[in-house]
Amino acid sequence: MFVASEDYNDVGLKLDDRLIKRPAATFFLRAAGSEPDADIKDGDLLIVDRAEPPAPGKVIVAVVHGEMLTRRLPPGWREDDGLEVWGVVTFVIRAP
Amino acid sequence: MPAFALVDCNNFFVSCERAFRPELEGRPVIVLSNNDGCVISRSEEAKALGIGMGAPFFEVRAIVIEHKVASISANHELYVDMSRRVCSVLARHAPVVENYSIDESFLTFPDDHKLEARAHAMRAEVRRWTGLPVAVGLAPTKALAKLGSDKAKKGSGVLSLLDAGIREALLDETPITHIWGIAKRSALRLAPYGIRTAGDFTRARDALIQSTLGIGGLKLAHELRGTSCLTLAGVPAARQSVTVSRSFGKPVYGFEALNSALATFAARAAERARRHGLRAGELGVHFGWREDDRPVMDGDSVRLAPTNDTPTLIRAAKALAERLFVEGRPYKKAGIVLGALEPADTAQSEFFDDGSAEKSTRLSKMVDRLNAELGPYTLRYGGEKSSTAWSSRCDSQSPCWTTRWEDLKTVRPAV
Repeated sequence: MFVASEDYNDVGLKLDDRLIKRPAATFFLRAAGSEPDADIKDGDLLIVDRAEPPAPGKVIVAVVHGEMLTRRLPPGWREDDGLEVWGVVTFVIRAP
Repeated sequence: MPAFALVDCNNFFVSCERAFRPELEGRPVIVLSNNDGCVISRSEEAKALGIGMGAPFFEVRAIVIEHKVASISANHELYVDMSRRVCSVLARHAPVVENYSIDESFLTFPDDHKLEARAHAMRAEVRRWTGLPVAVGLAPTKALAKLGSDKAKKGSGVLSLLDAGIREALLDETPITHIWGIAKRSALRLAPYGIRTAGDFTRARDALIQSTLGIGGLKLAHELRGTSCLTLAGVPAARQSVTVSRSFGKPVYGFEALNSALATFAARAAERARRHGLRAGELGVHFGWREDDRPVMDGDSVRLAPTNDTPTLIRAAKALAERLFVEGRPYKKAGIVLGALEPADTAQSEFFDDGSAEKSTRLSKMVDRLNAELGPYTLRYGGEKSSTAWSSRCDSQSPCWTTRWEDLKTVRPAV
């Protein structure tokens, strides 16, 4: 049976489906400097979801004195400890 | 009962900049239009300093320097992307979302059950997901929802006018000129009948409203009384005029330079009118310059057989400019206003129509399409300026953080 090729345009794996849960809330940032504790290396592409709830152990982008900085939330972190969370880093993309 | 919401992004362009530059929070910030440097968005702190909407940069420069106001050149690519994000968050909360402008959307809800609480949740979600603050007005009609969102900005961010008592009290304290769609001219026509507040307007007789403001005014009165009659498609034409104007980077003296700037503005204005399906029955030209260190303006306008044809408008602008131009004047600003706008399809054709008008309009549309596809200024009409000698430099435009890989925001580790 002949099937028009457009019918298969959506077939295949798309990274967006895997890495971006909420497109409206997801932003790409670039790491400037390495941070072993957060598994981030200089130049990494960071996928940041502003809608993802922050939790201890997650890597976040925080706003400290007006600057956006990455850090891993410590085990005892709680929502009300005053740290301004910009978004949660959900994936890190880098060449090996 | 079905209900409407108007969601309005506060100081939208400034808020988009702040979303990626948190250091701008709490500081006075203004966004300037490209190539002209007129203020098109202000933070609350900048408003408090007395910086007016639309003010040319040179008029507010002293305030900017004295109060260290951050002045940013507009980055529409960023704003369009952020607007798209806001709309997709809104679509999670309402079945019908109509994007009224880049920073305003109307939402339709089939029922108003616990709507105020839902609106608070929606507002918090837009803030969390996009970083942008919004104000929400809830009401049984769109005109009231618009009024609600205007007032919500001063309060908790959500104002419900679903309750008739609250609504009437607010209308009684709102000057009629603050109502969406009531121009100063209309307000002047109502004043002799003692109609000064929106409340007065809702209590006026239908016959009086229709005879002074026409059927559009009557619809608005019904809307303000709480009877919805502006369906999603039937929103009143927001624009009563199309203005394209620029402040020049440095004074312009020659007629040719001035005329080519005007031709460019006329082309842009015509393009905008066509995009909205409108024709202009009036064209105005204005110039600004400084005398004894005070800004001075001069301008004039002509009636036209309704048109949105670029070459016709360029010719009319040139004729006006020739009359207004004075040799030796240091022109700092020029602009075009298209007025007496009407829907293009209902306009009567000219008595001696030889078909050339239609041909010309087809040409205009083709130019629009090519400019839209290949980038602005791809095709120009004779007289339109190709160099930007008259345009001021673009100071500091923010990177396209959300739309270009090479422009991504960088973040450093906390330690």
